[in-house]
Formats: sequence, C-alpha cells, structure tokens
Amino acid sequence: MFENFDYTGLNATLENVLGSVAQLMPELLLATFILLLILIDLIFKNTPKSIFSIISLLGLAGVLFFTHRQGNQLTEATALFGQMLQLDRLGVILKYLFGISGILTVFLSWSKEEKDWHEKGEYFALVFGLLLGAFLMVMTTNLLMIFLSIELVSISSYILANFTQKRKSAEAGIKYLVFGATASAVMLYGLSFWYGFSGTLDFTSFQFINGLQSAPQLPVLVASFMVFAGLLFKITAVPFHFWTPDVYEGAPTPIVALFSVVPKIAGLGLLIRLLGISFQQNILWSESIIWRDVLGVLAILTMVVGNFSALWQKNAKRMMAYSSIGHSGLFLAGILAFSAFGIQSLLFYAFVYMLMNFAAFYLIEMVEDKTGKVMINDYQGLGLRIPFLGALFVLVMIALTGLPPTAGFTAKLLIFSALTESYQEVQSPILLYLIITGLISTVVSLFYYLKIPYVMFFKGNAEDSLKMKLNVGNKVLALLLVTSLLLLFLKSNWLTNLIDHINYF
Amino acid sequence: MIPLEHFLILGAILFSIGIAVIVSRKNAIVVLMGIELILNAANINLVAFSQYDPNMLQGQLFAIFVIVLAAAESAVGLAIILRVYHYFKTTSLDRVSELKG
Repeated sequence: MFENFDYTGLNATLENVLGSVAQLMPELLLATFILLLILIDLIFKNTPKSIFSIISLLGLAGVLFFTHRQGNQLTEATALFGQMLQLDRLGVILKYLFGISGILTVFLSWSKEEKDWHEKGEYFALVFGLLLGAFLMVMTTNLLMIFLSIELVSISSYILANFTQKRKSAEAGIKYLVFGATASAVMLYGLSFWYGFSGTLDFTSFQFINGLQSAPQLPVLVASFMVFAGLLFKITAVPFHFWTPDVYEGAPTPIVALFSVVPKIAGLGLLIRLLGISFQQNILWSESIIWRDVLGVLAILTMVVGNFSALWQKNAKRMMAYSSIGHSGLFLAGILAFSAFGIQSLLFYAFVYMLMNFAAFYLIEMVEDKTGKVMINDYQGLGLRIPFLGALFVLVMIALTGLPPTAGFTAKLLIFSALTESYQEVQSPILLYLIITGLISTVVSLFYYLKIPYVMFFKGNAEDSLKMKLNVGNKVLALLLVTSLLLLFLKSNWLTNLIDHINYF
Repeated sequence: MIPLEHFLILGAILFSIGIAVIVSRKNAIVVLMGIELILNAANINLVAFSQYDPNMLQGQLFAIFVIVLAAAESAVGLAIILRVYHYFKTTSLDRVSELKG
C-alpha cells in the first residue's frame, strides 16, 4: 500500500521541521509560558498576582534573550517550516519591541487592585498569547499563517478587552469582537481569492506574484482591498477605526497600552512584508503606483480624523485613542516612502512610539488607579499638588507631539526626512500631500496634548485637586520611561545602530 | 464535474448574505452567524480553488484551519455576549452603547 510513498521527501520534510523548531526558541518559550501560567493558576489556587507577574517577567526576559540570540546567529534570511515563516532582521527587531512591550504591560498591571482580578493566570497567559500572535505575524510569508497569527492576536484581544468586571469593559469587548471578527472574515475571503489567482499560499514566491499579475485586474483589486482592510483594521487606520475609542475607553488601562502598540506595530510589520519593500524588492507591489495613492489617501485621512477628533475629547483614554489613530497615519506614511530609509525611520518611530504610549498610559493609569478619574477636567490642580507627576505629564505630552528635547522629535524628523527624500526621487504628489498633512496635524496635536498639562497647572488649585500619593515603584517606572524618551533624543544612535543593521537581503 | 464558477457564485452569495446580516441585524448572536457565513463562503472558495492547485491540498488544509478557528471565535464570542447580557440584560447591539464621546 505504501510502495509508492516517497520516503526521502518525507525525511527531508521532517528534517526541515525539526531544524525549524530549533530556530524558534522565543516563540516556543512564549507558548510554554502560556501553558505554565494556566497550569499554575489551576493547581495553586489563590496565588497572589505578584507571583504571576514575576513568572511572566522571567518568561519575557527569556524571550528577549532568545530573540537576541536569534538575531546574533542570523546571517541571512532563513525560511522555516517550508516557507511558512521567514526569519530575518525586520522580524527580530520587531520581536524586541514586542518583548519589551510585554514587560511594560506586566509592570503596568502590577499596581492594579486585586479585587478587579479573578482570573490572574489567564490574564497573563492571554497577554503571552497576544505576543505570540504578534511574533508570528511579523515572520509570516504564508497566507495561512497571516490568517492564523492575526486570529491569535484578535481572539486574545477580545478576551483581554473584557477583563475587568465592569459594564464598560463588557461593552468594549463586544464592540471589539463584532468589528474584529467581521474584519478578519472579510480578509479571509480576500485571501481565498489571492490563493485562487495564484495557486499558492506563499506570498513571496514568484508564482504568487506572477499569478496576481496575469489575473484580471478588477477582481485582484477587490480581493486586495479586502485583505488590506483586515490589516488596516489592526493598524486602526481610517475608515476602519470606529472601534478604537470605545475599546480604549472600556478596556483595562494596561491592556489599552498593549493594544495601542503591539497589534498595531505587528500589522505594520506584516504590511511592510506584503508591500514587499523589505523582501527581495518585490516587483508587484512597490511599482504599482495605485497602491501608493490609495494607501496615501487613507494615511492622510487617518491623520486628519485622528488628530482633529482628539481635539474634542474629554476623557484622557479616549483622547489617547484618537492620538494613536493619528500616529497610525504617520506610520503608514513611513511605509509609503517605499525606501530602506523609510523603513528604518518607521522602526525608530515604532520604538519611540512604544515608550511614549506606555509612559502616557502609565501616567493616566496611576491617576485612575488611585482616584478612579479619567476625565481631563478632573486633573485640575494636580500639577500643583504633585509637581513631579505634572512634570512627567508635560514631558510625555511634548514627546507625543513631537517636539525637542524628546525622542518624539527625532522620530518625526526621520519620518519627514524619509518622505522628503522619496518625494525628490519619484515626484509623486501624494508624498507631498502626506508631508503637508503630517506637519499640519503635528501643529493641531499640540493643542490637545498640551491640554492635560494646561489643566493640571493653570486650572484649579492644589487644595481642591484629587488626593493621591505616588509610591516609590510608580515614581521609578514613570521616571525610567520618561528618561528613556529624553535619552533617545540625546543618544539616538543607540537605537539607530540597532536598526541600521537591517539590510534587506 | 461541476465548473468552478458555480462554487464561486455560491461563495459570493453566502458572502453577500453574511455582510447583509451583519449590517442589518441588531442581535449580537445573529451578527455572529453572519460572520460564520462569511467564513464559510471563504471556505468554499478555498476548497474549490484547491482543485486547480498543483499541490492539491493547500486550500483544503486552509479550510480545516478556518473551521477550527471559527469554532474558537464563536466560543469566545458567545462568552462575551453572555457577559454583555449579564450587565445589560439584552443582546441588541443598538442598546449596548454607553461609550460615547
């Protein structure tokens, strides 16, 4: 019965799989810790949250270590599992970012009141699940893996958005679920057509590119729109941003900080890969001007909608939601520069964005944790009562706007230089519009970002302000995040050295 | 053999019904059903296209993964709907709208 079976082929496949497993240490460690955390929660009831936090931190430190080793051993892009995944510089750099975000999330969750938390082990396991999804998302070169990794991120997110026992949290969860599930279902329908046109699931192969090029244009366009819709949903670009403010307002703050960084940057990483700048200078995407125009218009809309809507927000978390939409527009602009410099600036920006967002959400969470207030008007006089907190708010908001002396300025400067350089090269008007919109929206963002420090220092007085005290842990972590923003401005070469090593093979 | 177009048309019909359900129905459970319809439309496409794949199996394998994921997603979805029902005493998406700004 098995006479005609090709055992050499089977052997080769087995060797490929085993060899690939050995190279996937960070991902394996994440998967192990998901199981470990759930098991500990099952076996030892009433384990305090700090134990879970410490285990998670250990796990994430291990993940970062193995990511580092993965990066050191990497000499050229390697295909794993028969072209399911691809290990290269871009992936490794983004994995650093996700690992650090995970650690920051654990720290942010540290101070949360115990009473809000019934399923502590699951909480951290789900954070690890989200990270695993993001890790796979930036490595994938296969349509099946795109869908699986996006769903892993999404399903973890739906549950995490629900995590506190509050009415708002439940509403945020169901809104995220309905929008997210629809977006990924539509994306899957688009992916099925991509597969149909090309007959292969490997989107880096010549067969795939050839297949899409020789297929009739209109269906390819529609299918590609569907696929990009799924990705733009993750990036929270207009017109797929409606869920963002509601989810950010309702979900627990540490999770919001995680949502605003990891799925978004993972989506961008995948978009970079799909648009094929980072990979083999793909022919199809980078030269089809129409995608630059379509995505360019979306990026402009994203910046405009995000920044102008933020002006009217009264809730600090909602304001940050719109601000993160605005930042997405600039991220997209960085991709649309279609150059190595553009990608490097984008990565620099991504790292700085992670630090800024975690810092901002941490400050918001400190106030929320101790007083339960998230409205900007409640911050009256807080800067006079606790000047330390006020000063940190000022610095973080300046960084988010993109002004010196913070790394936010360097990041924006790099993105705009990349855009200008590309504009001089290709003279595409959309790039000029992107630069203009980016500059205008930076000015607009000044008004809403500085509203918080303004209210803190110039409205109300110290006696009537919220009564809260910061403990040492709060101060150290907040100071650390803000100092890193200042340091990266003065010593931006620390980060650029890491990113410069990206060669696109 | 049934020509490919028939499968694609069936898939497109399912997709359209799914989108129509999601857009027009207010009940969260029915919306989840609409999402399921879209996933199945994609499955039909994948299996149909898989006939023309030189490796034959990729599309069908993809479809199996999608079926498993759809089950996971509806499990999570129904759990979330239960929680919403616990707080709001309704599953109508129109009436679950307290977050505004």
